[in-house]
Amino acid sequence: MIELLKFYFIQTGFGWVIIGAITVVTLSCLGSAKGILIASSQAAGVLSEKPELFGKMLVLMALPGTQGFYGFICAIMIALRTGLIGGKINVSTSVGVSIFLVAVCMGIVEYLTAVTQGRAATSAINLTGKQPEEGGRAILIPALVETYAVIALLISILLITWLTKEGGLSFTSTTLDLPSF
Amino acid sequence: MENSVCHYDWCYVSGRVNVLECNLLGVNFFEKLLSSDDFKDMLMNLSGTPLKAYFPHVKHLYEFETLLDDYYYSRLYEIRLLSPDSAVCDFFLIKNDFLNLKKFIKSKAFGTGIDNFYRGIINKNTWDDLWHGKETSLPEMFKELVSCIRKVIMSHSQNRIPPYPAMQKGVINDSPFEKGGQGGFVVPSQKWMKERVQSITSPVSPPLQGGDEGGGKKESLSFIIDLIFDGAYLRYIEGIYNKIDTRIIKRYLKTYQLVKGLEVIRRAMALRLDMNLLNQYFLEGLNQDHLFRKLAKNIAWSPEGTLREILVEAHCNAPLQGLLSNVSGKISFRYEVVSDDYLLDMLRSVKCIPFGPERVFGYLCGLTTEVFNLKLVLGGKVHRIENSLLKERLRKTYV
Repeated sequence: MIELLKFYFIQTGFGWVIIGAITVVTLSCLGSAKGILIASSQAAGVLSEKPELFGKMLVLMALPGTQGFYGFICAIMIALRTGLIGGKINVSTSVGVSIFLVAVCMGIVEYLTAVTQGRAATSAINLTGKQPEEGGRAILIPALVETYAVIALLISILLITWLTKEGGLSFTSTTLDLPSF
Repeated sequence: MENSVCHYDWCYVSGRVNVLECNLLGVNFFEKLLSSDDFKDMLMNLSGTPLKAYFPHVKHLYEFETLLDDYYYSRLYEIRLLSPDSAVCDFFLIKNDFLNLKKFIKSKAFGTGIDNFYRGIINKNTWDDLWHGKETSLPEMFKELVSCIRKVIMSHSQNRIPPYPAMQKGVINDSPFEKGGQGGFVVPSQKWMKERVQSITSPVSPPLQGGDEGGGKKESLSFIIDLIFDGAYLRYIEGIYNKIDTRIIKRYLKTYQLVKGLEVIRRAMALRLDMNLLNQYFLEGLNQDHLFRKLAKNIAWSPEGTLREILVEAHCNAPLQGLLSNVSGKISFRYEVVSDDYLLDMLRSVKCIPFGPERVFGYLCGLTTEVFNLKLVLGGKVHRIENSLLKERLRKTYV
């Protein structure tokens, strides 16, 4: 067991990469779920009085869900770039730790923006509930929060790409086979 | 607010309340209603509101109170059902329970019947169990209250009025005043209080019941029970204040307690009421450094004309200073109007909060004010009261 841990976390950065990918997906999806919970609960309250607004509410309810997808994209990106999917390890420990940190930061940002977007969506839902004709403009309120989730995703993709490219930070071009359990 | 209740749990009911707020009637509606003298005009005005469903085939407005109560309580119970924590709605309902308990106790003490109970959250049959000392699921505060009043009644029947047994400090105790002001909160009328003061200050206490003399004693006991309930209700408000975490609601409750307590003291001062009665039955149970005690202790009975100055001085750091400063000259019904308006103004900012208990609380206060205004205007119209008198008593609306 100790040998295995040494291989995954000290000899290579493979273990860090796996934990990073899991973290970013977990945080993002949790944030999205919470954001959607907030927005959809509020929307359900409005719809109980004005069911005709369902179409307008649907967009507002779904908006906090995008962060979960961003986390998923980031995790896929990590897996593709580090050989996680191919089964060939080509990351050093320093790269693995760096990717782990990127993933954690990305996860935190996605979590917080999803929850914040859910809260912003409630304001938009309230506005739409009171003035349905303002529904189009109301979408802008939570959409502005989305900007920062997108920025976090873009930066994460750029950093992962830079960290894992040949000649990047402590990149090792030699690939190792996964040890057998 | 219980810790297990998350702020997000209020989203659903807040969303519903957000839409229901649109149905609240604005000040323009009430002015329009005031200006219409014709019965058909008034019904037409009402038919353009959400109240239409509650005034379906109404032939006259005499039954308006029942219809409005149906409207108010159906909303209140609905929101209470949807709320993750019922404490917010209970604030509006539990005062009815205390009124019911007071009615019940008076009926037991004086052998009178009960015409009707207000709608609350406690089953009416529970009072009987409570009175007979049976095990009930009611909070301890009710048991203490009933036990205390029983002692007072027993002592009173033995021709001596004992000091009100002090309730434990810090323990939540309850009891409402009477119906009347905003939120059904009522303080006894001056005439009513005068009658009771005279009966209490009578040197010879007649027997509890029977004959002409019994009437005086009955009235004094009734007045003491009222005082006990008034004081207990204010302590109950303090208990809610300690339970709720929401800052705005806490501030509201604090001011509410202050306003209603001052109302009692103000009336007592106006009537030159014996301070011992207030100390024994109304102030007992409050902390020694409580503002009400300070007021009652330091202030000699003064003409009502100077009361405003005294109250402003006593409240130099209290939020009511501004309120009291706005009341010019003699404090009269204007105090109730201004204080109700002040309390509602405190909650206006919650309309900007997308969800949470404060949003629901604000709406319920708005609804309560709306129903009060409707009863005032419709009742005034039915009894042909002058428009100007009604208008100056109208409370500010929430929307």
